[in-house]
Amino acid sequence: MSKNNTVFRPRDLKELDRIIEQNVPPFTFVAGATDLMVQTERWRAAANLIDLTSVSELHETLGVKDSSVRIGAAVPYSRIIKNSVVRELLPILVEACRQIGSVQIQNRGTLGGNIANASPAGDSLPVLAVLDANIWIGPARNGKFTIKKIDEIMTGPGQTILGEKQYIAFIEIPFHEREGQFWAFRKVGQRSALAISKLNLAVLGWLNDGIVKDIRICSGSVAPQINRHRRTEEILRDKKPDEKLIEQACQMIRREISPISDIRSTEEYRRHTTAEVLRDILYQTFAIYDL
Amino acid sequence: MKANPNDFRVDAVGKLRAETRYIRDEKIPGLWFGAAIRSPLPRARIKSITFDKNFDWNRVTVVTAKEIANNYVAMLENDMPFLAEEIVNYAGEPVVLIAAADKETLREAGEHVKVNYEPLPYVLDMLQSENSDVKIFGERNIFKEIRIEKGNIEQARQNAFAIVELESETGFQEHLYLEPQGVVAIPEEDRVIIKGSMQCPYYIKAALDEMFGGKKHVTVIQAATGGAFGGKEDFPSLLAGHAALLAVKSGHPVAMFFDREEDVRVTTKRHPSYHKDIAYVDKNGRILGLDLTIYLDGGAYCTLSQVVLARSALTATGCYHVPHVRILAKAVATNTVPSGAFRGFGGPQAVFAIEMLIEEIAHRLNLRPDQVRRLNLIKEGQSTATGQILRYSVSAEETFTDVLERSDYVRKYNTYKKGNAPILERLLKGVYPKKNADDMLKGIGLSVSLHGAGFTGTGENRIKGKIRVEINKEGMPVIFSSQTEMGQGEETALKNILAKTLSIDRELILLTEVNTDLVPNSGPTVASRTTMVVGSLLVEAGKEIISRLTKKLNSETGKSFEYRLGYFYDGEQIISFREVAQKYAGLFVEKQYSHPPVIKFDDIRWKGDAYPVFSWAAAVAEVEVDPVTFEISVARYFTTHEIGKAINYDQAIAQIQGGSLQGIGYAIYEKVGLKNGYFDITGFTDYIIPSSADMPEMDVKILENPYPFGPFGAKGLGELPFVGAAPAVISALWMIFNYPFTRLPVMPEDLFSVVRTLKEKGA
Repeated sequence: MSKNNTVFRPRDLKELDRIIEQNVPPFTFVAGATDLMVQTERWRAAANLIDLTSVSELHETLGVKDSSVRIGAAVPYSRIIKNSVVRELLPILVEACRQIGSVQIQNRGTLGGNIANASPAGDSLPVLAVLDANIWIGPARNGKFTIKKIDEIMTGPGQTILGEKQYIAFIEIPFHEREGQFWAFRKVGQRSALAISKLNLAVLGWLNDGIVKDIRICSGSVAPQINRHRRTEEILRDKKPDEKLIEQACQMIRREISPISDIRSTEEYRRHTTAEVLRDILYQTFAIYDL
Repeated sequence: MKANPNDFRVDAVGKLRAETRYIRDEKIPGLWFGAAIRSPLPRARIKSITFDKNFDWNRVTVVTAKEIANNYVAMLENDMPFLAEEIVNYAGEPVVLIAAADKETLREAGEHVKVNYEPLPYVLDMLQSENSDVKIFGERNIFKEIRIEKGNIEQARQNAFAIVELESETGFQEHLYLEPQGVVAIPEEDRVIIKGSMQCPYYIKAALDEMFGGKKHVTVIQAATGGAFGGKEDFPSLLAGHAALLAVKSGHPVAMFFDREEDVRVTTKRHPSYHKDIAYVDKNGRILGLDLTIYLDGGAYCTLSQVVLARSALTATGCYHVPHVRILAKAVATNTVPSGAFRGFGGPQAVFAIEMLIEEIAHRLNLRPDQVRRLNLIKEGQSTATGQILRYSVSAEETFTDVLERSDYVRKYNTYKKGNAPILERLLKGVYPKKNADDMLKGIGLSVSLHGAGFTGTGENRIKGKIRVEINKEGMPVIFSSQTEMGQGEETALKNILAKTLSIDRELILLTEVNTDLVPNSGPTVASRTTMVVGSLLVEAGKEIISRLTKKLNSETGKSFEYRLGYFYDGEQIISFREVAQKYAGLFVEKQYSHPPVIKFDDIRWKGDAYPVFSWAAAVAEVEVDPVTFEISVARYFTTHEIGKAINYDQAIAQIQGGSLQGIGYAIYEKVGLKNGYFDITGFTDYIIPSSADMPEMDVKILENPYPFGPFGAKGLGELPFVGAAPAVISALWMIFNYPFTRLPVMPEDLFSVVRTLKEKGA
């Protein structure tokens, strides 16, 4: 970071909002800084840094209610992983947090950072999408935060709808019916830890008498944005999955994604493997093995 | 052999307590920072360099090629300039140097320099270089060509039951030492002091003596060095030249500190290779003859490519006895960053090629890969491609047999084949491959490898490494050598060897700072030579110290003391080494190395003892491939190394584990591509080396078969563990897919393509 830059460390939301009001953008909102600090140029150019980890509400909130949990945008992954209620009620979120970076990264990195950073490879994003999380965007107006879904916030790689005075404040995740629930989060990277995903896939669904009552599927790293694959979901919904139906779903997800070739992988591998990972998850969920 | 908890690394405490000072930790008053403006193009003519008048150039110091009288880095060919003058030959080549008091000013100044380039045609493909119109080096872009012949290859061809051909390739590899390159130059009136992260202080001194034409006294001091793997063998000579030019001109100490991105983009990589090999075999798989063609991509300048090529050619027949051999090896120039030294130094490329050729022979003759290997392993009394008769310390068969037994190779080979069959069948039919959720394709592969210890050919006799051991006032022996610690355990090894020779505590031995004003040139810290070559000088020095102390003591006392395990004893009195040594403080012994006369090599006809001795290894890798994602992991890795004698057992095991993992990285993790002539990697996030989470279960065994001229029988170890790892891993992929994998690295994306190809073939 350049010597002349200002760093703000507001203690609470009130002070944070005042700083935003009284200073001239651009601001660089930062929590764990696990991505920003390692990018020499971006870190150097970072102007008016606002450290959200000093904002007590954002850094500490992990509020469990009857029907949902509200997590501060600057709460590190490791606290989410350790929380016993989250572990019990949102195992898919814990699984995604566990597969992010390494233990060191999990101690610093946050859901808020993952969302605002808007990388298509952000590992928590597909999971937040299938969990139907509400993202609370500050500053609040008359005590009310702007609330959006994950796929409404990210508009492209590194691009969000956030205005230059806006920040991610909280992530509110509803608890879902546990009866008949099945879930999976898979990450494919070049090594076991500290790898940026080549692709990832989150699946959350509910079964009743072998029939798929509902299913939500979201991939990461295989499109410029994070999108649920609603046409693939549609194929499986209200059906009793068999090999033929799953084949149709796999064909559909291949069409619903738009991967590219880059330094991490190839377009063809990503398209093929996303579909095969979906097949793997569904076969295992429905115990379809041609024995 | 077993672990000895008291034999810890002598450099460990300082590193664990963060007391060790690396070059960036040093407080150097008035330090300026330097940087290079680099060519963005792989080849171009420099038309002009303009300095924007809107910038106050008095704030900084600038150096261009025109100001450098001897503008070449003295190495083997002197072809690489410190700064390009007319033509740039690779993307990233330095053109202008700038230094400033702080990094902000430095950056600002850099933005105000404009270099105008006229783009020129370039060649990136090593196979097109020789016949290209683009001339980078001489008329044919060949840094070195080597021909080795043994027997009569025609005879092998005529007697062959089968002719087996294989082309294979290996890619770039980045060292990724923990500490990026960093050097500081401190100017004094008639002297320049170079301090930094390095392997070979005397290489730097030679390069800078030449650059300054003897007009400055050059002192080179090694700072604590955070890893090197060969990457700090040749490259720091260029970097130190840059720092020195800026320091002398500005009058300030100047630091050239790379960040990670600059380091991976412009520093040397392992030489990519291409092999076209032919084996003539009988019906049992016995090799009658090998006809090998080797290309190494040297990049834009020669650096050490000639010697890397020599090691590749001299290692090309692997651990096998072959009666008829013909080898043609060429190191060629391309418009890429100069390739340089890297652990194994041409050996890994050669061993990969020969091991894959063996796999292909097994494949063709329907034999198990271990059967073909066992049949051809070289034995004591047999000769290598250069006619070197292996007279001692030969363990190809012993290491091979041991690792096969310990890993239960043959049984697992059969079991895994059977287990894979239905998964593969379904995979190739294009249906869901698993029967159970945790179904994996399991492979088991093997390799045999060797590494010639010490310099190639006549190198040791040319460098004539020299050490001194001196007794200080406290009666402690002080070692003066130019060997460097870079994390490999050099300090521990040298102290252990002298302590053992003198039968005294290791703590009584001191090592002098590696400073070219203080230490003689014992040669560079490369080629797995430190323990074996310099260690052997220490044994000689230690023995001479004892005999000279004994003589002095006896002539002074008129008695007849003899030395017994750390004490002088005459029947009545017993006096400790230290007590006697203290009396004769100042006594010193110097020793200079040359090969034992029995070791002879002709480097014009490529005949004779290419290396004084070889170290041997065999490895078995158990590999798992996820049939859904094609992710590859090494689950278990067995290796048996025969290294003459382990000077420090724990450290030897650690070397073998680390080197093996680095070799596994070379096989299935580490990939460097080129984009517009530039490497496409920027650092740890996109150059994927295996982490501790990818470490297989490792089972290492050391065998000892003494080298009669090594310290206590020791041979070289540092590079060997790397050499055999990649072929063992890839051998396991051959076994799973029954498909010739001939290009390193192999990625999941490659397996995906292979399976698709096999599917199409089947259909």
